[in-house]
Parts: sequence; structure tokens; C-alpha cells
Amino acid sequence: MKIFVTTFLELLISIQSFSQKPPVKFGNIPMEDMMMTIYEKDSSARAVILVDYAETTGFAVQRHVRIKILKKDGLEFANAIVPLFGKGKIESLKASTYNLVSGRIVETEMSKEGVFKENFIKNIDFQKFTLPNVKEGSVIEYYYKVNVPGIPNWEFQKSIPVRWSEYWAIIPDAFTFEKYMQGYVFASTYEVSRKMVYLQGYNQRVSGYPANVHHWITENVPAFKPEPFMTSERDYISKLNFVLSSIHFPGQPVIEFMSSWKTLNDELLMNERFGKVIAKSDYLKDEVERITTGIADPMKKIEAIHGYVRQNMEWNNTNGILTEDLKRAVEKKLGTSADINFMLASMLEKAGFLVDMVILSTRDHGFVRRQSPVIQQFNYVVCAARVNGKPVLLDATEKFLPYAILPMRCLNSQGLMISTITPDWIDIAPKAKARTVVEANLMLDPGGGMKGKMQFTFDGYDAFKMRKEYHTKGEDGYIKSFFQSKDWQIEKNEFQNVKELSLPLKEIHEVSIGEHSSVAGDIIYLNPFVHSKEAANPFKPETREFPVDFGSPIEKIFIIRITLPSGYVIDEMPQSKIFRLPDNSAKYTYDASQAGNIITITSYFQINKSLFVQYEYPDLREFYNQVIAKQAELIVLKKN
Amino acid sequence: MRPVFIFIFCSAYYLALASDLKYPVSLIPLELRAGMNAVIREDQLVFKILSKSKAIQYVHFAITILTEKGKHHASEVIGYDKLSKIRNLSARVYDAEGKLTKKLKNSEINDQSAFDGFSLYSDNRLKHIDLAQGTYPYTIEIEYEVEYKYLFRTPTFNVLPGGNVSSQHATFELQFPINSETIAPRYNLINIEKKPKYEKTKEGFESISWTFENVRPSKEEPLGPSERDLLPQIMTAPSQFEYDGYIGTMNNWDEFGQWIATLNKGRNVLPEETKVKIKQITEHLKTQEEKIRAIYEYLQSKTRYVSIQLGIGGFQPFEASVVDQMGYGDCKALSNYMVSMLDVAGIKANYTLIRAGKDAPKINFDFPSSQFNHAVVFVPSPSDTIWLECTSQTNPFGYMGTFTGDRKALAITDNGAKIVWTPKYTAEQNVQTSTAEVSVDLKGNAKAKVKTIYSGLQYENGHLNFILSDQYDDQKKWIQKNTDIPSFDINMFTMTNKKSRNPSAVVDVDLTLNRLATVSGKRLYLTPNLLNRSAFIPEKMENRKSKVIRKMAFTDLDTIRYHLPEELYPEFLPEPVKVKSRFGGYEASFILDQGSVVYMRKIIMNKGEFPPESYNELIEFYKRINKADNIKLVFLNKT
Repeated sequence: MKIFVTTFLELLISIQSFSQKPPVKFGNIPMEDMMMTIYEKDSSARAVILVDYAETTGFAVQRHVRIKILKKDGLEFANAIVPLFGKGKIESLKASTYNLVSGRIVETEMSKEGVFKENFIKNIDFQKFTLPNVKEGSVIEYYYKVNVPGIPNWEFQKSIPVRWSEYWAIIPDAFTFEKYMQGYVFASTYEVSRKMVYLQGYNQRVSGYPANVHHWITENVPAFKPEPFMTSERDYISKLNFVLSSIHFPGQPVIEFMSSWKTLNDELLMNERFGKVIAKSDYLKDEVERITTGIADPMKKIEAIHGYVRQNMEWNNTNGILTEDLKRAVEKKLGTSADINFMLASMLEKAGFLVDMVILSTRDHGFVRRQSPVIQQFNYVVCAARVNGKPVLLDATEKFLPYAILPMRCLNSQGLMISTITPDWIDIAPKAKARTVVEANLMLDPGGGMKGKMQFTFDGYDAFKMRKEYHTKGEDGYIKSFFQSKDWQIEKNEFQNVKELSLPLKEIHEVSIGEHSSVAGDIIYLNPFVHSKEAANPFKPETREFPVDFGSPIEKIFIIRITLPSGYVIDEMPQSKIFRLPDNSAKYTYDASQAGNIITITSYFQINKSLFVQYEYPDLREFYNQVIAKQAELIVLKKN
Repeated sequence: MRPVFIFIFCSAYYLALASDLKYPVSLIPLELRAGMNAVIREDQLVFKILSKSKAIQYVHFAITILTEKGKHHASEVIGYDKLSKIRNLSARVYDAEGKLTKKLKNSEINDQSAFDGFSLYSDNRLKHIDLAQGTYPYTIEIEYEVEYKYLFRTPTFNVLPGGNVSSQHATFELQFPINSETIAPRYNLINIEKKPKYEKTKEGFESISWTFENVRPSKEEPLGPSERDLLPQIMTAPSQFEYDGYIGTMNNWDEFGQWIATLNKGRNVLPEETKVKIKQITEHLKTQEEKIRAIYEYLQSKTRYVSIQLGIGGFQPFEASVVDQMGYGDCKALSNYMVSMLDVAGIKANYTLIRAGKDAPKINFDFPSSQFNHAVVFVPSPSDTIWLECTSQTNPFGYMGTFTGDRKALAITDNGAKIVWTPKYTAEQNVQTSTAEVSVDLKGNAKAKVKTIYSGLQYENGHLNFILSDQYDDQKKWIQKNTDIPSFDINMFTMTNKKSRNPSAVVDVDLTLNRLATVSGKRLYLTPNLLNRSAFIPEKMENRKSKVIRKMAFTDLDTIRYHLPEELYPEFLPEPVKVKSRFGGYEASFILDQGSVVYMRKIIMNKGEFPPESYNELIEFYKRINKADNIKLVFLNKT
């Protein structure tokens, strides 16, 4: 949505005067900050941002940063990079390092040798600088002004603690911004006041405009630390976001950038690269007829068309909501996710389906906030075909996912259906689990060796993962990595339905397993989990700051039937057991039984929801601990 | 004359055909395609030396991409800088039949700064094009020239790029003016036995060329030589050259060293204050080693590493006085600064070039040329040589480690250069010692106190050497990641850094291990190898062809005492295990001692190269170790 930015920049070139009172004066470093050796609030911090201050008037920002370097691995904060867009440039850059030398504060100013400007790519420069004489214990500080498009977002939270973060956003009444705060840290001060600001237009005339002055302060913000099983860091870091919604200068028409979801819906429908694409795709008609001839069932039709697009188009790993050039993409057989899904939608429309597009934000792109109707929140589009009046969500970017299942990246709670008739929010819940069933039928010999057949059945996201791996490594490579670091002899391997995505994938191995039991005299100790064992708890830390997100429900089933050697009887058997979390959000069933000379162990591991909030974490962690302990239990056999 | 005519006629006919269809896939011999992701159709590289400060490189490259895995070969990155220029860049795409389907547009060339991920600033730039298509196979053809206003970097010709790519036709040609031996290029063939062809070109240049046809890559085997050591390659270097005004020769390492010395000349001047400071901190010290250490520690406290690559291709260090004033520099600047400071204290040290990196490819010392990527300081001494890494604020004094240890380097001397070995680390030095006291209760829950000492190269296990100077939560994460127990809680831990020339780290951990032992019925099971279980088995292979290489020698010692409730007695005690092979030795024992069980494990792994037929022995060796590491103790409850 580059268009918004340029419009904004071209309207006016600069706003005069920065006028707020910064919390600290450049060069005036309190002795206690110089003497600080550890940061009290986080004794492990390698550096702490003492002050992070910015004041913006929408076209320029002045920034003042002061950092205390506490440890050697905090030295990296003495290098800074400021990206410059378009004709942007940095002004009034000054930077200094302060060191304590025999009780006195000694300042070293940065000279021009420490400043570099690099042309990164067209229209983006990097202004880089590095401060002189920085050591453990130094305080560094820098100040600059830079022109920017719009009101920059403001991160209160950084990878190191921030003692004082302050932001002034002076927004003339002519501009309306949507703003929202995210994360777990809240501003300790937020005030709004009024003042006049002076803007200079391209006609060189300076005029005064009334403005709202927003002022935020947060204090003692802890360092942001990402954790495993998180969707996107962007969702959790504490931050203020701004989105331009309209511009209205007195006596001029209003320029709307965001008014409502309805407007956004209508604008997308009129867009040449979105709403108009399907109507202009007659060149796909013949192909649709060829593929769907003789198919009456609507679901079968969808499957056929989806299969065609999936197999013929390659995704270039680029996301987007607008098509680049659909016709060219079709010719090249290569395109963005938008190109591919618009091709799918176009073909479905030609086949007589009522089709709408659904825009969404992928998991690594962050949540969508309903209170801010702006397009920037989205980065992906899928299509929805109606079958019996119900929308079926479809995506054809992945070669190894059947038509009914959306890629994991799309599963981010909700999407917005863009439609002439029924624009609305639509739930995007996982339609499939990550499911694996392993069945083993093994004969045990008196030496402790086992021989027999193991069958794997993969469904949903597990089938996707397996097919992808099988394709990437090839059958030989796949088998090789399956048996890697296992002391097993392979007698035979078989794969079923690798290509038929609609059928569950089966993998069968005939194996001899050498080292899975220990024999001491007349006793055999045997762990039945020749496979599917939870090797280690994925949640090592005792506590958790952010929710755990698995993406989809998980099911792992392991059934083993062991035929005992003649003359042996069971001396000890693990007990059957069930444990679960409240609401069955996670459940484990272990069942051990004997019939004649056959022992059957069934292990059923389930994670039944994808998102666990922080307070559920200790239970989830303990659940894993218990599963691991249960799976470590042994069967003891004795010779009669 | 007649047959000649026919021949010309034929080739003209062929050319006419070819101008319509280029590189059809049908013309690739089947044996060149099988199992490949891409096939190089044509690879012509001509490097033409015009004078000691001028050269042109011509590239004409065509490759057929057969599968998705060959996709990255459809993009090309060409580097340049202030003294070189890319000209006449063009590219085309052909379909499987050889029909032209696309020509590169100027707008599709991305021009950007060569951001290497660690330099703050570098004046290198690059052009990047990507011609990946959605349908396979297809062919891309690229042509360009690079004009150099200097002669220093000359190309290395790789017949194969590595991976599953074969080559149908490749030519490498070096050209230089007739009767000008002084600027004739030098070359060195690696994994190639072909004799070059000598000719004179129409323009009056000498030409040396090699042509390769239908080359398939040889297969890399696990734990063998790496692919890069097997690929055919032609290295080249100038004899006389000029780089940004600095003239030199590199027919031997002395000449190369002299040139580097010219770049560094006069850059060792320190301000008076600093000289006084150095004298102050060293004059009371007795031994040379103490003095070096004091200056090194001064360097570490005063400076930091910032990579800024400007001018002369990043070969010339900043002046020592600049580093002194700014307190930062890159490896060259900091090493030069260190040499200058040592000089003030009357200690002679050498600025030394090296190729840094864990498992970095070896420098070809038979062929003097620019092959280095890092600079360190070497302090020679008849009794005790000391090596200094100047870019780290935390590196122990005299320690080289996996980054720069155990390899040859080039020390720049007064008369030229000298090849020197950096410190080696042996199995006796690379030791990990764990001792643990574990109390297990009747429910199988346990408390453990574990002390582990990591020394020598094991000081770098999982980047422990960096973690030691990191903050508390990073250290805790390291312990969580490197503690090989399925589930545990950390009650307390400490990490101690013992810096020395053979440094060590001491990690003390206090753990709660709920359900460590499995209790079922009257039995309790325990795997006594608590922390150091081997699970690796090399991949099975028939027909092993290449030698077996073990890169690091080490020793691991584990002693764990299990305190158990009186009610428990062992159902049986496993026999001690001893495994010996040419790769190393392993011992494990289980002893009952005053109501507790003591588990001891010792493994020594050797470093070296072993014959191909020893590969199965290695598999056997690991299998036996893995089995021994998984032995369980079984206890019965008396009550």
C-alpha cells in the first residue's frame, strides 16, 4: 500500500519546530548512571536503555537515546542503523560516549569517521553510525532528526530493559490516525493537549493548524524475550501502532484512507488487482471445461480444479493480497499466493461456483485487530467457494495439502470475506489435526531382539509434513533419515498414497530391532516404545510469559503387539492409566493388556486445542513430564 | 580442400538451427542428467589481464534447471566495488525445447550494498538477478563482463558448483599480453590433471585454457572428506599487480608478505600518552608473558570489534592512532594496534593472516595468493609462542580455539612472511569431566548436584565460551538446552569462567528430577548414565570409498554416585563394559559401594584419518557405546 505513504509525503514537506521538553538534556549524565554496574530491576541485563525519547510531528521525528552499557556483550548497542526512505535524510546527528576516568566524567564526541551512509537499494538508504571509546560501563547517547512518512510506530519494549520511554505525537486536526497499543506493558502516563503547529506546503506558504498533542510515558519496561511455540513476536512486544485514516484540510475534500470495513471491502472489490481480476480471466475458461467435463458433484469439481492449480502453479514464497499480473503468472506457472489463489477462484467461478475472496494475516504476520479497518493488517488471501450456501475455504499454494485443508500459516483465528453480497468476518479454524498412528506387530526372541512389521498412518498436517519430506529427500533419502541412528535392520519398505492427497498416507516397514531390551539371565526387560516416544519435554523453562500456540490439535497413537517367545511369562506389566488436563484440552491414555502370549500396549496422546494461555502452562508442562515418565516404564518377562 | 568445405557447411547448418533453438534439454546426455538437479550447458570464463592494474573478466554461462531443488542456480549475484564495473549484463530464459521465452529487463536487476550480516559498513556492492521459472526443465543463459581497474583478485574457476549439478561443457581461459612474463597469471590445479592448451589470440595475447566436457560430481560420503575438497578447481593469482596504487608481486609468500607490509607501513604510530600508559602497566612485570597479557587485557578493556571495510578491498588496517582514539576497529586494525603496543613494550610480534572459522577450508600454501579472511597476532618466542585474537573482548589470553586453532597461518615478517602453525588441542586437553551426587527416593524422584568442567575445545561446547559472559537467563537457557535429561527443574546454577591459555568453564547445577527412575510394581529402573548418552550411529553404507575423518579429539569422564533408600537392592548389577578401537576407547562400570551405586564412564576419541574399510568398525564402535550408555539398573524393593 505504498500509495498512502507517498500521498502523505507529497502533501506537505515539513513542520516547523520541535517544542516539547525532553526528559533529559544532552550531555547531562547523572553520576549515579555513570557509576551503575548492574541494573537493579534486571541484574542480568547486558545494557539498559536509560532514555528512549522521540517527538514526531508526522513528517519528521527527533529522537534522543541514552544507553548504559553494562556488559561486554552489550557493546553492540553502540552501533546504530537508521533506515531512510525516499529522499529522507538525517539531520543534526550528534553522539557522545561518556566514561568515568578517575572519578571524572569524560566525554568523547563521535566524529565524522564514525558515520556512514549506505545506499542499500533504490529509495532506501541506511544511515549508520558507531560511537567511539565504548567500554563496559560507558554511557552512550545520540540525537538526530529524520524525516519520515506518517507517524512512526513506537516500541516501548526492546530486547534490553528500558528505564524511561517517552513519545510525543503531535497530530494536526487535518490528519486522523487510528492508534492502538499492544503487548503486556501499559503506559504509565497518557495525556492529550492542544496546540498550534505550523506546516509548510509545497507552495512555500506556512500556515498554522490546531493539533492534538499525545504524550505517552512508560517506565521500567522489562526486556522482551521470545519463547518457543509463539506465532509472531510482533503480536507480543509492547508497542504503539499508528495508521492514517483520513486527511481533511479546511475547505478541501476529505481524503479517506480508512473509514470502515465496509469501505475497505468496496475499495478492494473495485481494485484492478483484486475485485476485477476474476472477471478478466476468460482465458482460463477452456481449461476449466476440460478439467470438469463429466463431473457433477460440486466437491469433486472443486477437488479437480484445486488439483489442477496446485499441480501446475508454483508458489514463489511471496505473500500478498493483490495479484501482480495473473495472466503472466499463469503463463509462467509461477506466482505469489495471491496470483495462485485468484487463479483458483477464477477457475471455480468459470465452473459455476459463487466465489469470494477472504483476506487474512498469516501467523508470522500477527493478529488482526478488528478496531482498525486498515489493509496493512493483512498479507494473504485465500478463496471461499460456496457449496450448498456454505463457504469452503481454499488455498492452492502447497503441493502436498489436499483441497480442504489450509496451510498452517493461514490458521490465525479469523479472516475478512470480501464480497458484494456477504462481506463479513469468517472463522479460520484448523480443519485437520496433526495425526500419526503407528501400529507395530513384533515377535520377541529370547535374546531380546524383535522382528515384524510397523505401519505408520499420517493424516492432516502430519501427512503434509511427511509428503513434503518424502518429496524433498526422495524415497531413499527419506528411508535413510528414518533409520538414522537406529540400530535396526530393514527387510522391506512400502509407501502407499504418497501422491493421492485425499487418502491417508501409509508407510510400512518390515524390521528387526536389535537393541531395545536388556536380558539378564532368565529376565528380559523391555520398553515397548520402539517408536513414538516423547523424548524430552519441549517446555524446559519453569515459567512462561506468553501463550503457547501449537497451530493445530495433535494426535499421536502408538499400538504395539508383542508376541512373547515360548516359555516366557509376564513378571511385571506397566499399569493402564489415563491423565488429562481440564476440559480434556490435553489427554493421555496408556493401556496395557495381555491375551495368550501377546501383549498389547496402546498409547494415545492428544493435544485437543491449539492455544494454551500462560496460566495453563505449568499444567501443560507437567502433563508432558507425566507422559515421558509413563512411556519410560518397562515390561519384565521371566522364563518359566 | 573438399572435406574442409563440407565441415564448414555442416557447422554453419548446425549454427543456423541453434540460433532458433538454444540448449534444448534433449541434447543433454542421459548419464549427465540422471539424479541431477541442474546441468551446466556452457560455462565460459575468460580472464584477460591488460596490464598490472587492468583486467577484464568475460562470463558466459548457461544452465538447465531440472528440478525445484536446482532453483537457486537460476539466480546470479555479481559483486563489484569502486574499482570495478559490471558491463553488458544480459540474460535469457529458454524452455525445454530451447525456445527463447524471456529476456532480462534492466528493471529486473537489483542493485544493492553487499550486506554481509556482520560489517557495520563495507563499500562492496552487488547486482542480483533471479530468473526462476515455474515449469521444469528450463535453461537460463547469462552473459556479462567485469572491468577491473586493479589486478589483485583473480578468479577461481570451479568446474562444478557442488551439489547435484553436472557440467556438459566448460572452458576457462587466462589471457595476458605477449612478452610480458612479469604480469603473466599463475595457476594451481586442484583435483584436475588436465594439461592446459597454449595459444596466441588474434588480438595478440597469450592464452592458457582448459576445456572440460561431461563432468559429473563425485559423491560425498558421511564422515569423509567434505565436498569442497573433492571438486575440480583452478585457482589463479597474479604475479605482479597493482591495487589502488599499491604495487606488489606474489610469486612467493615473502613477496606477498612484503606487499601486506607496505599497506601497514607507518600505521603503527601511537600517541605519547598511550606509550606512557603501556610502559606503566608493563614495567613492574617480570616475564614477557605477563607483559603480553597485561597489554592484551588493556586492549580487551579499551576496544571493541566493529567491521568497517573501506578501500583497498578491506586489506589495509586503520592507523593505530585512530584505533587508539576511537576505541574500535576490525580484525586488521585491532591486530595492527596490538602489534604496535607490544612494540612499545619492546616485544616483537607479527601481524598474521589466517583463514578463520570452525572447519574452515584449508589454505593452499603451495600457491601464494590472497586466501585469508582474518588477522591475528603472533608473538614468537623460542620457548613459548603466544597467539592473540584481538577482536574479542572476552577471549582468554592466548586461546585460539576452533575459530583459529590448529592450522597454518601467514606471519608477516620484516623480510616477507613465514608460515606458522597455530596451537593444537589434544584429547588430553579437550576434557569434559562431570561428577554428580544423585539421591533417589522410593517413588523414583531424585535430587542431583552436578559439577561439569569443560576444558580445551570443549570450553566451546554449544558456544559455552560466549554464554559465560552472557546474562543470567541466557546461561539458564544454555543449561536447559544442554542438559540431556527428558524432564527436569533447575533449582540453582552457577557458571565460572577460568580463563587461561587452556581455558575451562565450571558449571554447577542443582536439579530436581521428578520421576527420574521408573517405578512399577516391586521394581525401580534407572539409567545410570544421567547426562552423557551417545545416540549417534553413522549411516549404513555399502562400498565405502573415501577415508574416514575424525576432526576433534576429546575425553569425557563421568562419575555419578546414586544414593538409594535402604529398602532397595539391585536385582542385578551389569558387568563393566570396555570397547576399544582405532577411533578411541570406552569404559563403563557399575559398582556397589556402601549402599550407593557408583557409575563411571570414560570415553576417549581420537582425531585423524582412517582407511575407508574402517567405516564399518566405526559403526560397530558407536553401536556398542550406545548400547552401553542405555544399560539400566534394576532394583527390587525388599518390603
